[in-house]
Amino acid sequence: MPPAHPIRLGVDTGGTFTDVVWTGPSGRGVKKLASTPDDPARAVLDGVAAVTGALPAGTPYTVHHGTTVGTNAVLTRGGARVVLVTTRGFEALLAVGRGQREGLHRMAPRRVAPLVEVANCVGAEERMGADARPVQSLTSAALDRLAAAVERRRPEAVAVCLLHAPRNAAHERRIVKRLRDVCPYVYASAASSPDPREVERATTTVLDAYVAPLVARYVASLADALPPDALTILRSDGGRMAVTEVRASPVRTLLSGPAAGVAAARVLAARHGLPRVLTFDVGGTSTDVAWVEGGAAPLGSELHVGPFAAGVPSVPIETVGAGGGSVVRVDSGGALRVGPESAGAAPGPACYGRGGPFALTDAWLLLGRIPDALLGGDFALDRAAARRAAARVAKAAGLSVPALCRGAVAVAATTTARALRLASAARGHDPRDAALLAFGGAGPVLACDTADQLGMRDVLVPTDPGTFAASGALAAPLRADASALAPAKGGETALDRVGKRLRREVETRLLAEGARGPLRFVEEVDARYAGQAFEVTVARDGWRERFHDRHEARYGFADARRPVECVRLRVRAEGDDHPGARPSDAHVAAPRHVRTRRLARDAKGVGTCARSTLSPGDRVRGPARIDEVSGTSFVPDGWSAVCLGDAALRIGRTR
Amino acid sequence: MSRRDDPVALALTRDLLESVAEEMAAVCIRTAVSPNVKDRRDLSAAVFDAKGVMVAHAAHIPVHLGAMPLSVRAVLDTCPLEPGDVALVNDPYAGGTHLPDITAVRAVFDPATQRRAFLVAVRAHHADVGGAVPGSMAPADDVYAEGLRIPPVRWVVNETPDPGVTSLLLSNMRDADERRGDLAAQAGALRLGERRLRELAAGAGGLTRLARRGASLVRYAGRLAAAALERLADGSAKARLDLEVDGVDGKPARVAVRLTKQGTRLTVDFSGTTGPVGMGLNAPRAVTQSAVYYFVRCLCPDGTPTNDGLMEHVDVVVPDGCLLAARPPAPVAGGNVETSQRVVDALWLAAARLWPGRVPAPGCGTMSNWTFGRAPDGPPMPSYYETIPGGAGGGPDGAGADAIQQHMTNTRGTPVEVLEARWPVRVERLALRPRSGGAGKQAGGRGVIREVRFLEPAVVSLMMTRHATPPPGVAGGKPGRAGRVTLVRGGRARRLDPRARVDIRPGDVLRIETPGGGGWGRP
Repeated sequence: MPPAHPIRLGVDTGGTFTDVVWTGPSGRGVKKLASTPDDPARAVLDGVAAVTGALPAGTPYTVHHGTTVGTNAVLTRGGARVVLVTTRGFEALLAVGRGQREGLHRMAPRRVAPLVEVANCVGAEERMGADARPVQSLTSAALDRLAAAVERRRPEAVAVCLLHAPRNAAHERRIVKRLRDVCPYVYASAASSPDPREVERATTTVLDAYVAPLVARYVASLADALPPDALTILRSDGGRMAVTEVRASPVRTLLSGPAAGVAAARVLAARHGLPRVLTFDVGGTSTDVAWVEGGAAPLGSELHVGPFAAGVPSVPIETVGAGGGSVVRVDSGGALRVGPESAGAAPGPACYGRGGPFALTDAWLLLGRIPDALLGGDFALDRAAARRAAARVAKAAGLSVPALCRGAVAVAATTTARALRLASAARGHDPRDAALLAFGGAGPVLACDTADQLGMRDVLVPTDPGTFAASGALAAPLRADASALAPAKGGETALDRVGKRLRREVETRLLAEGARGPLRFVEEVDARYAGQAFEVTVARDGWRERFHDRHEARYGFADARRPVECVRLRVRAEGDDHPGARPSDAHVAAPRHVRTRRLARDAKGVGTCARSTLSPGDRVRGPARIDEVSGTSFVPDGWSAVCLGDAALRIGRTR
Repeated sequence: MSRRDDPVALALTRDLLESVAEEMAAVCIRTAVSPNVKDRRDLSAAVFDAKGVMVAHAAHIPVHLGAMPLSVRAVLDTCPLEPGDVALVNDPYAGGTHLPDITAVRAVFDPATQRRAFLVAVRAHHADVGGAVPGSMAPADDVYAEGLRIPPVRWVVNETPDPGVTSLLLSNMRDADERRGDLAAQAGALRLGERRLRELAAGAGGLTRLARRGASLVRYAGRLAAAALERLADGSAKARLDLEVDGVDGKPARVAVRLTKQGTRLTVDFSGTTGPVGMGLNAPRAVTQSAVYYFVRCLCPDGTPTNDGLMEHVDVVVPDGCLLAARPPAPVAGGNVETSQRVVDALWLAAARLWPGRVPAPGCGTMSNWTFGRAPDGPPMPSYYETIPGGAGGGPDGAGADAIQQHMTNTRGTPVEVLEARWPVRVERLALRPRSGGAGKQAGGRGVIREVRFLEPAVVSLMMTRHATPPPGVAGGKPGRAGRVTLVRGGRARRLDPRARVDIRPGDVLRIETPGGGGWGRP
């Protein structure tokens, strides 16, 4: 008799490691494997097999997967050959874009080349007006000519973005229907993102098409190797989607990995009763930060991958080019720089012993902030190589090696603090109102220094910080969303009608994806003062009043007499496919008795201990290093760490 | 060479002070109301020391670079600031550039010394500041016709906006609510800037000490600029370019520049530039200074901070009375946007001659500004302002980019769908302009074609150059194609003067073709 609740596996693919976290009636566990970048599915399936192989045959299980296949395709420009269909006369839509250049001060201005070259953009003989009425209708002869022009370019995928399609998508729908005979992957802009800004909408649609064949093939290869319906994929908004939905909207997987980290943060914050946390995920080359408030990550309406933005809901993650592999050097003006250049995974920092440059990880090693061997002793570091590399930079800087190392840490902390401060300012928050939640291999090494820069007093480190994102995949509910432009006329009744249609649409989709039990709906509107060029998203219920309040809160003023218009209606629904076995977000009380653990200290006075030896209520005073397999936490002088009921560490200032 | 600064302190100070500037800009964008600030991001924010030396700058719009310090100094000279005060200035003859750019300035006092330790400033382009034509960018006979001129004036007194000043300002501008919202966003950003500086100072031994550390950033930029200059060959070269208008003396106006580089020193001498011109193409000194500032920054490596240290090794000579040192009441609306581009082109061209093989050919050389708004007999509509990108010049590293904002601006275009939803127009075409890039070993980039049909009467004003003289090629490259504006009315096409006010009738189609970039090297 199989257990009623299946085993859940969360799988997160990174550049270096593929992490598997599992949970079931008999407990939970973690497995870390080397990633297989040439065929990422191999490490995923090996990891799943390693966990499920130990279970009695026939034990049901599900796999929640955060993938970077789509993201990598965009970042390396390895996606599909896409043809873009636009309204005739606007074939240069992406080539002109919004006209901006990258980097203000370059001798030769450059811009990011669009994912579709202008020769592969085809104009449709049609035109919609801003009032949703056709200015020029699409004839069937024109449709035939268009299909021929698209076919001649032998696309692997097609994106269709016509002017004003979110107001009236009739032409787009006809074109998509017709082009399905030409190409299996066809995406319509009004379906990808009903954003009334054509360049942004076209970019979203092109991203859908660009990653579609690769992502669909990848997901299909995993699904085929797993039991039926076992696989679901993490969405950029922190929910999950079924394999069938991935094909309908592959762009929604682009931030699959980082979103899982934020989903995990949400659970941890709820468990510890923290109303606001800032996530701090430090990897080898970059650091991701995001706000989580009131147990939820506020959703942004845009997702950023490299230089591109897609108009789909996403956890708002900011990335800064500083991580453990960031190169430390002195520039020609005599300032110390940490990043954005990175030593990467190969050759890696000098201490990897492969001839790499002096990097932040080397500074940590020389300061005793990380152990001489990583991954529980499996990965030995070359201290002598680190010192040689440090000595070269120290000479150029006119500093001693220890001063250089301390300086590198301080600069890294200030650089990451700058990103956190900016992410907060753009949302009207103050970092001091939040706790810093540190994870990723290097987050807990740097967290206290960064928190210090921002005046934050609280740092939280989960157990197994290196596989924290994978655990978020376990927590994510099934989710679907849909949106539409608000009807220009008809007031609340018309809005209700659109709302009902969207509800039915997401409900049907979610049930088809396997959701059971009651679904949770969220209905929101994007509203603005008439004539304004930007919107504020508020709950649908009582939206006018909410809009004034929100506008007042965000912009410092509101005008109750000024007419408000609703631009877009958004509906989101969540449900669960398998009840139970989700990581608990039940409140974990702070330990009632705290006792200080005495640590063995090295010559510099830094104490060390293994994380596994700490029990709830144990306190460790800094400076101290707390080691575990997937990451090290560093507690500076003047700070202390307390082990909490779920074995997470809470590190705070003691003076 | 200045004395050595601690490499770590330098990096930390830079991150701290630049993050204040960045945060001010982010808050201004978040809280502003006009599309021009919010979406097109036509603003800049900066931190200054007590004397008005710029130490940190959030880069958005290069033409604000050199102008911000002059605006702040004008405030210091004439408008005493107490704690909690904010001054405004847009006067092109007191540190401003052109009237739509309004700079708000606030002083930050050290409670320990009761003295000023820092100044913070936020400059934003307001979509209308009054004047004869909506958008305040139309060619005019003098600065008075261009809009409301604001000399340094105390607008906020001890945290409270002066109702009289507010009312005076808003009574003279179109779309007063939008102006009010954007000004409030600027003031809010400054308040935040002050708060942040105080917080940072708490961990850095006080505001006065933090300000001293700020001075090290200026030395740092100076060293980077010196190192960049040192690597370039010594010598001297000049360039001369037409402005396409006649001076008030009736002779063709032109910009002349001679670059002289010796060791780590650069002299930029505009002698030979002609006198005042009409059509608003005069440039106040602040604009000329910005163009040089930008040029020097482009010579420096990526990651160089933009502060006053960049100019430590540069001497700028602008003869009194030439069009690059405009005197009141000459009109200046186009100096900021057009003449500034011509100055950069001239610098580029001279640099290409001085350092052959290193510098690209000039690009489109115009911002292709146009505005439109309500006609006296037409329906109400807000003022619309836009700059249209053109081709970049080819260069040693490759062909010039197509359709790209260059040099002194980098604002975003307005989406066609937003434009059509809010204004009675229909965009009929947006295309890369064929064969507009100059031929060369590396071709110039293409300009664009934008066709707009008007559905209601409106008043259009154009402010464009490079319609008579094409962007030149370099090292045997061919020139790009010059710009062109055509009005199609009742099936008949008529070429328009690129700096004109045009009364539009329903059904008219305006076709704007922007210049391509110059080619580089023999084709």
